[in-house]
Amino acid sequence: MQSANNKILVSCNLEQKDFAEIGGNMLKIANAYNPNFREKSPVISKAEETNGEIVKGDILICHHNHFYGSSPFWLVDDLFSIPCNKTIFAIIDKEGNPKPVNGNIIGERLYQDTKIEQPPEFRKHYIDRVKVLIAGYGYAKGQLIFTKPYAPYQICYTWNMIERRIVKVDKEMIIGQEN
Amino acid sequence: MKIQATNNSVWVIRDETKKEVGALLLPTSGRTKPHTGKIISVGALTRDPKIKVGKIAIFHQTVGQEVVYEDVTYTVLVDEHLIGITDAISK
Repeated sequence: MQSANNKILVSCNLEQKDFAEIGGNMLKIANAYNPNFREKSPVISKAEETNGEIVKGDILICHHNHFYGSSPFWLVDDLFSIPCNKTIFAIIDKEGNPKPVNGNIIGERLYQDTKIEQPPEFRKHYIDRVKVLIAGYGYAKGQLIFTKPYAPYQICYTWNMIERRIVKVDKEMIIGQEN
Repeated sequence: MKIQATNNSVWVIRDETKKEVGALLLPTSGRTKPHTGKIISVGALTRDPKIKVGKIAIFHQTVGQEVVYEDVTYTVLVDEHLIGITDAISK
């Protein structure tokens, strides 16, 4: 079986779509950590064919919209044919590091400075800027980029029980960069 | 200028509100924002070649995204938001 119209075949077990094992290491997505529902529940899937930057066998972090029982992207068993576009956020490599794909930039959240030190739950983050973590698509590591408000989408996952938080931004949502 | 606009965005520093002698002092939120500003940076995907750094942009008061960076407030517009370009505002 092959996908058509720039789609890609991926497998995803709907009962286990928030975790995967890569070479003996456990990858788990946090699926309810923020009251902002736009930011929760990315899904882990496995590429079953090669398309562009994605190679067969890659573990992918995808947007959750494609993966449910009666999804129009569902083919058979745990096989889905999903659009190969910016809804595929990143590839997780064998060290647990994300690699941005399909025009997504991976960065880290920036927090606003306050005059008095505050506990982490009270710290406010910027809604319009992130620091680039992984170089790609013309942006260098450590570079500050400005985005449209609320464009940064946080992904939280654990790799061998160590929590990692990254932010992905669609490159079309970037309005400026620091030189 | 440490900031470079990307895509079709246009970074503008909004002109200051005029202060008239003898006028009532209004709080910041009650003042009418000026709808002109100096263009600071232009993204590479901006479609109109007339939009250039240094020109004065005219736009609707309600459009744009405010970005504060290093104590400077910028207004970031999409190129479609601009309704006029001029070299200087006539008094």
